[in-house]
Amino acid sequence: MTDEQRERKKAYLREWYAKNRERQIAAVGAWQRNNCDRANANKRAYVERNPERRREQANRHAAKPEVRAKAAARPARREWQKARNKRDSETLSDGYVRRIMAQHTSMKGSDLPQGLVDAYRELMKLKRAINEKRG
Amino acid sequence: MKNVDELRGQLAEVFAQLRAGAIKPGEAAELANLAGKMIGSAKVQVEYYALRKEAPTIEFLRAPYAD
Repeated sequence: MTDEQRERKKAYLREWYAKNRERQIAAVGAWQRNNCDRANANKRAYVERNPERRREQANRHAAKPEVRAKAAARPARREWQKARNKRDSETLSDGYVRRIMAQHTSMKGSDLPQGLVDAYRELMKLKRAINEKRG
Repeated sequence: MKNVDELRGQLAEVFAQLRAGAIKPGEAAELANLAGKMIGSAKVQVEYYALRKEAPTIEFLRAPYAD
C-alpha cells in the first residue's frame, strides 16, 4: 500500500467512525455487558500493561471541576479521612507502613512480603522512640 | 541474624532496652540505621524480582517454619 492510499484509507475510516460513532459505542457497551468476565479481564490486563495511563486518567477525573465540587461539598468525609490518616500513622497500620515502604519504588504496597513490613514497622517504632528520647 | 523475623526480634529488643534506659539513643540510632540498610536492600531485591516477573525464594525473607 502506498503512502497516499494509506492516508486515503485513514481519512475514510475517520469519516466512517464519525458517522457511526454512537452505534459503535453502543455495540461495544452491549458486548461488555454480555461478556462481563472477558471485558473485566481485558480491562485488568490493560491496567497491568499501562499503570501510568490509569493514574493519569484518575488524576484527570479528580481535577474535573464537578468532581472537585462534589468532594468539597462533603467536609465531613474530608475530616473523617484526615482522622483515619492520623490514626493509621499513630498505630502504624499495615496499609500505612506498606504505603510508606512503596513510595519511590515501582511496587505497590501489596507487593511487599508481610515479614518485611513487620520488620519495617518495628524500625519505625524504634526511630520514633529515639527521636522522643533525643527530644 | 539469618532472616527478617530475627531482625524484627532484635529491633523489638533494642526498642525495649531504649525504653528501659539500658542503651543510649545514639547507640540505638546506629542499630536502627543498620537495620534500615538491611530492610532497604531486601526491598530492592523484592522490587528487582517483581520487575523481572520472577518469584524466587529470598532466603532472608523466608520464615524459619516455611518448610
